[in-house]
Amino acid sequence: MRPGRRIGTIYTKELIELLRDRRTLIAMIVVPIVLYPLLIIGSVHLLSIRGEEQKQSPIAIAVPGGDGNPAIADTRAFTEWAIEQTKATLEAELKKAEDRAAGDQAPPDARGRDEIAHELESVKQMSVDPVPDVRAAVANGSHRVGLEMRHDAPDKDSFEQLRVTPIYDRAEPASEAALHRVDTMLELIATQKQDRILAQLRIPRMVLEPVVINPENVASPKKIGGMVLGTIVPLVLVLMTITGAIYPAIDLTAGERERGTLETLIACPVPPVEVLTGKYLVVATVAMFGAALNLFSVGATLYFGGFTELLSQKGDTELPLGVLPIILLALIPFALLFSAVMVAVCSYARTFKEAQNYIMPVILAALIPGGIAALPGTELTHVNAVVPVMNMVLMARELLLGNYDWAAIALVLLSTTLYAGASVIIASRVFSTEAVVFADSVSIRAMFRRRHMVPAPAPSVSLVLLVTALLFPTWMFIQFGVQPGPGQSLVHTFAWTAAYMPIALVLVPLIIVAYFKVDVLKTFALRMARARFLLAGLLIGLSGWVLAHEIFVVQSRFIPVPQVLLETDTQLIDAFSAYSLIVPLLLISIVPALCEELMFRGFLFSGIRSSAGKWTTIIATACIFAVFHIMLIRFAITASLGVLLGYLRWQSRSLWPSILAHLLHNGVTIVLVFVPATSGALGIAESGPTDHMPVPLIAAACVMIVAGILLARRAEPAQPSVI
Amino acid sequence: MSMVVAENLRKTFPTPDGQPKHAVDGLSFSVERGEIYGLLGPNGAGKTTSLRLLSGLMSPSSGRAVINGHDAAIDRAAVKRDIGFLTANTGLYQRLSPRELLVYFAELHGMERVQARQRAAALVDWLDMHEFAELRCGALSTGQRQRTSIARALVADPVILIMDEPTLGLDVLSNRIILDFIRREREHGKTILLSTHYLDEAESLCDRIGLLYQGKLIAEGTLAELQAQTGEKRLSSIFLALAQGWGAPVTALPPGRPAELGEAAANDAGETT
Repeated sequence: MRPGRRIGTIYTKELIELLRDRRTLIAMIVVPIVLYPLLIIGSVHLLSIRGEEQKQSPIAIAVPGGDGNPAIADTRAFTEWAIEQTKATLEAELKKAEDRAAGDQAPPDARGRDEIAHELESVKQMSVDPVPDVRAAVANGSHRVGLEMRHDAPDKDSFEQLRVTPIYDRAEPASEAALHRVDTMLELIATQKQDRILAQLRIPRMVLEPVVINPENVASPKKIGGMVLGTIVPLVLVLMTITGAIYPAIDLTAGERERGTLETLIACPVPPVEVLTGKYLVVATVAMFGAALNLFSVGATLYFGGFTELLSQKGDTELPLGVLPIILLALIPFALLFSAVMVAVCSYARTFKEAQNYIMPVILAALIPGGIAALPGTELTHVNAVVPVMNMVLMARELLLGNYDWAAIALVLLSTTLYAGASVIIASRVFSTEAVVFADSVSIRAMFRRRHMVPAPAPSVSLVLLVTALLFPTWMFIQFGVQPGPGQSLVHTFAWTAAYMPIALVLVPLIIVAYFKVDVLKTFALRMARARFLLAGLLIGLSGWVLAHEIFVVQSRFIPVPQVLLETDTQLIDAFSAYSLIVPLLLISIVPALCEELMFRGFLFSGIRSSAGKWTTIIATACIFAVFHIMLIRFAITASLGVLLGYLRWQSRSLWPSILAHLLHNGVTIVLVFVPATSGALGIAESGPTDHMPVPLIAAACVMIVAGILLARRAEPAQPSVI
Repeated sequence: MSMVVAENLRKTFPTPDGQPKHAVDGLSFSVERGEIYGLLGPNGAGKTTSLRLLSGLMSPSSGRAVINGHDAAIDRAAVKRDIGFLTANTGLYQRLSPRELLVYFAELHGMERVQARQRAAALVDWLDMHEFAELRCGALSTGQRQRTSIARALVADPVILIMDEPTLGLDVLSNRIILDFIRREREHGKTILLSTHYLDEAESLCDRIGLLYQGKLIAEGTLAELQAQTGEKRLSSIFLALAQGWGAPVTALPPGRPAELGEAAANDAGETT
């Protein structure tokens, strides 16, 4: 039976079962469709009602009361006068504004009619209320705001400074709102006093504001909307997809175990990886659907509820519904990764409760890179594009800002798929592990103890993919994080890479292989190969660069080549000008060839081969090998070479032919760049990176490659098993 | 040819305290075609682990389990196709109906949708499940659940049935249906390996009996052979006699409930526990 159909069967059944669960429906549909809009509308409505109430409600301003004290009488008189004065001014202003509306040209700084009317209404609601103790009245809440003046207050029209002290209670929002209204009134009085004094002194008003600073924004309202959304939406997506995935992930893994149906399921002739893939796809579907529903619901509430202004501080922000498809695109990697991680984590759990405990740390771990990415200034550069979670948050933000860097998006989706795939494979291993299936009979912890591990001839595919996935970000960091600083040349980067490779690509896999009691010699295929395979490696290694060059030339007809790449040769020569040929040979050719072969054709190849056929293994390793070479423009070349090297490895059952071919390939390339005489001898000294090679050279290379393939055509027979 | 062969099977579990636990300790026996073989023993004797090893759900620490010619630890897929495995806990998908469940498992065994539906319908007929075939499994009684489980184990028409405690916790009527069904399957040439700790059931049902104690097979044969070997008549006495020979205190058996220890053996169906 085809795996696809079995996965489909599992998918359909799990989805039906999940949808029949009332808890899923409530979490997935009722909460987003009913609860969120109600909560948002309700709280916003309440807030705005309260706000309006406070702006328009009557306020009695507490002033010092009592008889005979002239100073006290002053405060009261001043406040009453100020209210009347402000009312009169605003009424005049309003009249002017209404006349303007009838046709006159408005001065640029004129205030709108509504605003004036609003202020006037606020002042009309004010009254003065004498009390024995103003502070006490405000403190005990009987008055929202009070006013005091220095008792030696001079005449309000004099040149002397007037000191007014509004009294309010900062712990009371209503009191703060009242203070704001009184402040607005007092500022108007102050401006009028200023005007009178200036007029008496015959000083123009502009003296007080000699320079008018008026910043102008060129970002379109749409872009500002994108920025506002770009900071909020990605983190919302993280939370929504995680919350969407939690319940189904637990239900389909730990839930199945807890309900006692797992044993029956694994008694069926279905590989665990297919069971888990089906389950994973259900979780991803539900997470995606749930998050989309949430987004639509929140989006529609905000949009139709007229709340978009809430998201933007000013009115010139536009939050078009058109961004929804983009957000949905950004949602995909979140759902893919979190569902996979959730399924993997929950597969360890024996019960619902245990699974819930495991999930908390995952959410925290996801929020940290997500939070870092949300910081302004973090950009979707090469390293960030492969850091899980961070890359998605950044991608979502870039998309919302309208920047579509398809190469970066491809890298995000590719690396996410890699991580998700590794998670699902791990989950399937864990899920079907005896220790986890029959948790009654053994402790899970014992599973990780080395002395309980059974020696194996090759690492498992899940192990190698996990290690590869974990190495990938560190590799990206070395490639892009260690850029030459000022005064340093490219040699710096190459030296770092050459130092990193033996550790990450050789030592790490070696330690892991040794820890898991896997046969080191077999994993790295270190047995010597027959002479004809070595000869094949020699031929392919010597001629591969011509093939690589021709692929590049053909490809450059369709895909533009970045300038940087065209100048690689010159940059290399410049960088290594102070060194002898042996340095670039060592750093760029020998070390990478050895380390990459041990990693990709050794460790990774053996792991994939343990559960895949010939061409799947060769092509999968070649593709991962090419992904590690990062530059998408060179993907086709690296992958083709990877296929040739993988073919040598499979046929010969040894790593040596592919090491030889890789060494020679890199070596020839370096020698051609650094020793001009060699390229001169081949007649290609003048040919650029996008010119075809001379026909005889291409013909010779083809002959050599075909000869190499033919030499390796008859596969080395498997050694008789010792068992 | 023997359909089920256990060759010196051992299963050792690591435990957190470092003392390995030998759940199955050098088990060897075989089941012939068309035979009902009962693995009998107290709780914790290793019955379930043995059945899991034989059905390829667990890998043995050493030894071999061969099912219909396939090594259970190596050719798991073939073994899983050949056997119908009935687990002790009748875990069913609560939110599916028995019919949907049967279609699902039939499809997992490689049948096309139409074929799977036909098979499910046939099983519903055969085990007389019409009354509850469309209800959700979560709403079924224990007996109905067990019938559904058995139908599930039969879904791919396996040549071998491995059943872990098939009558555990059933009422008289359901018990009768299951036991009749097992006999009928034998008549159809199926090979049946079951475990139980109802001694009366083993007496009346099994062609041959293996007595399991502390992971070891302490005796094996037909009821007559075992009687001859020990001079005891009742299976419970046979078991006690043999187990004491292996160092078991008299109280090593689970606290005696009448139906389990065979006093009610005259009652073919046994009591509800």
